[in-house]
Formats: sequence, C-alpha cells, structure tokens
Amino acid sequence: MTIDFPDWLAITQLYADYASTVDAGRWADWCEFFTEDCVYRLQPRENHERSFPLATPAFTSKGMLQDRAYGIQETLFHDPYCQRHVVGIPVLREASDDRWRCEANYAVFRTKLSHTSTVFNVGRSFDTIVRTPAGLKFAVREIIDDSEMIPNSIIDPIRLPS
Amino acid sequence: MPGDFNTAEHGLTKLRVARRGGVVFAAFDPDVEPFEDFLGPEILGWFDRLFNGRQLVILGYNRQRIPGNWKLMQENIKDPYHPGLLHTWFVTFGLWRADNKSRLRMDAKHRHAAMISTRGAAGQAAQVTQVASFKAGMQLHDPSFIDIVPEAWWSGPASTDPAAPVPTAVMTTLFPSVILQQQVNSVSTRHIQPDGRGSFDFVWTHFGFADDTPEMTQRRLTQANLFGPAGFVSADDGEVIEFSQQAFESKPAHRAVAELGGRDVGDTEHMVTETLIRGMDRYWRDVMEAP
Repeated sequence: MTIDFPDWLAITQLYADYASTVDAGRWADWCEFFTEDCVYRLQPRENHERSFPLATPAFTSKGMLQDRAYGIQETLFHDPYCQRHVVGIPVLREASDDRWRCEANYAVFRTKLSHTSTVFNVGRSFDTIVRTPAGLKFAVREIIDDSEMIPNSIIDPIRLPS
Repeated sequence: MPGDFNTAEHGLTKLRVARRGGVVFAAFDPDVEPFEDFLGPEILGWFDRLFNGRQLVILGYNRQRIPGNWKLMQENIKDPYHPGLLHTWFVTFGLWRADNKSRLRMDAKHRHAAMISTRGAAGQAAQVTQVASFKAGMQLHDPSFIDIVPEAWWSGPASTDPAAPVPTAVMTTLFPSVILQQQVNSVSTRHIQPDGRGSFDFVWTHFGFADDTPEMTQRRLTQANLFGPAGFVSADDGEVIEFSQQAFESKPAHRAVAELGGRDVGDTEHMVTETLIRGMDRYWRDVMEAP
C-alpha cells in the first residue's frame, strides 16, 4: 500500500483540523468535514462487538449533523465545559486514488469550571475519507467508545453534549 | 474449612423471578407479591400494551452514570409538565406538551404510574409561544428524525375508553427501578441502578419486534437519537438532575415543594399536575417511615 506525501499530509491535517474545530466549538465548520450522505455514529463497544445496531447518536446525513449543531447551540440544556481531543496518528488500512480507510485512537478530556480535568471518553474511530472538489471529507466516521459508562451526558461530537 | 462446612448452605442468593411478555424481572425479596399483583390491573394493562407477546429484538444498550439520587429519575418520568417547558424537541414538534390530550394513571398504592399522551398540533398553538424552549422557526435539515408511522398496537388493550384518542406516547414508571418508554416509534426500557445516595447508573435497552420491517427498525434507531445519554431530549434530563442534586447537597435543610395541581393524589385527565410525584413520595414514606 502506497500513498503520495501530499495525500498523507492532507489526511493527517484533516484529523488535526477536525479535533481543533470541535474543541473550538465551531459547529457549522464541523458539519463541513463530512459528505452530504455521510454516516457519523458513536457506538458503545458492547453494541459493536455483539453486532447490535444501536449507536448513542447515529446520524446518516450531513443534514442530521446540522440539526445536531443547532441542538448543541440552541436547545440542549447542560452544564458548561470545555473539551480537548487528543487523536493518534491514523493507521491507513486501505488506499486508492480518491478513497482511504483509516483507524485512529482518541481520548477526550473534559474540564468544567472550578473542577479538575477528567477523562471523558476514549476509543477509536473507523473512518472512510474521500476526495471531493472541496478537499478531503469524511464519508464515514464509526466511533467505537471503550467508555461505555457515559459521565451523565454527551452533548458535542464526542464533545456531543456541549 | 471446618469438617462440617457444607457448601450447599452457602450458595448464591436466589432471586424471585417473574416473566411476562418477553420481559424478565427479578427481586431480592423472596416474599414479594406476584408480579401481576405488584403492578395492579391498571398498570399491567399498559405493560401488556407494549409487551403483548410479540418476540422482542434487542437493538442495543446505552449506559450513563448520573450524579443524582435515584428517585430524581423516577420523579422525572412522573412529572408530565416539565417536558413542555424544558425539551425544545418535544414542545416544538408537539411530541409531548401540556396541551396534548393526556391521562395520568396509577396503581392502587400510587407507586407505579403511566403517563399517556397523544401528539398534538406541532408548533401552532399560541399558548406555547411564551415557553422559552419553543423554537417557532426551528426546521430540521433532515426530517427523518421525526418520521413517525403509527402502529396498530398503540391503541392497545388498555385504551378501553372508545372516546380516548390513541396514545402516541406512554411513559410507565415501575417502582422502584424500571421505566418503560414508548415515544412514537422509539421503545426502550430504562433501568435505574443506584450507586449510593448521590449517583445512579441508568441503563437503556432499546428494542423492536421480530415482525418489524427493516424500515421500521431503521426508524426506531433514528428516533433513538432523541433519547439516551446524547439524546436531543434525554440529555437535558440527566444534566438537570445533576443540578438538582447539587442544590439538595448545598442546602440539606431546605425542602422541595410539589404542589402543582393541589396536594392530593389521584388519576387525572390532564398533565398539569405533580400528583404522580406526590403519590410515589407518599408510598415511599409509608414504607420507609413505618413504625
């Protein structure tokens, strides 16, 4: 499996940009990391391993992500916090000229005002990235979290409850 | 071990088990009354409406740890008035609102309850525009979140009053630890597992039925986005319970008042009341403060 350096740079930059965007709470920009008919799911590991279809959020279009972005900003009621994603270097599983399959580990740390920081969620993502006229986009993000016991709620894109 | 140690006298704790409609219950109390008597005829009717003998299919689990006393979640699902104030998705799309046709029902001891409601006109009634959570201009980019298809079982054996509208949502609380959810096409059980006084685990089991079409299964999974730890609706509840617990702990001598709809306990034909919470509290005190 080979990959040109510019494509490898674009893939690693995509992951880094994504983490930076969600940590900054730029939700309109977050939606633009995805194709129109994307799949974004955050699934407890038990459901994944036992082949149960339920995910914690399961979005199957960019429109659903935009509805989530609206929910995060306008409707979901929650304690304020900030969130920090640390994403590992993606493992390249499949490569073609315009489509790549990657996996990446992640850890999300959460800090509430006047509290110590905590590990909020850890896991890995199984991603499909495609080349589009507007640059590389996620066609699929299947996020499998080891942290099945959610500390109360998830608001943001893993920073689901914001 | 001493020579007369008999392992047969030190076995595992045996639980009292009951099965009905594909659901398994277990109790640590060997003298607990039979399951059907424990629920009573009214609540059993609502249980049987959901679990009417069809083969159940598990869709998956969600787990969350909510830093609040376990009774707060029972109260949440016995408080029919807050969804129309707090949950934008419920009030804006008419899924649960104070002006929906609704009924509140309890068992004879007022420990269990069913909140029964029928979806009303979404986003039109002038009365709700004063509610802060109502978003008149809110339109979904992807309306499949609320692609609702009525199901034959919704009318159910419990709806014996022919004049009563077909329920679109029935939320049943079984004291002390189980919640049965039907909110349009999303059905689940929610299990409260206390972790001390100030925390509980909340375990969601989403399911469907063996005769569901693939489209109905997908619909149940899509509507599940409203519920669970990340739900457009349910995330609000966990967070507010955390706030409530913080307030209780900071002012232990203070008291909460639940007098919406009066001070008595009884079934109603509307949801503007805290009667179900008063009923549970009264039962709780009868059990826990008995001489």
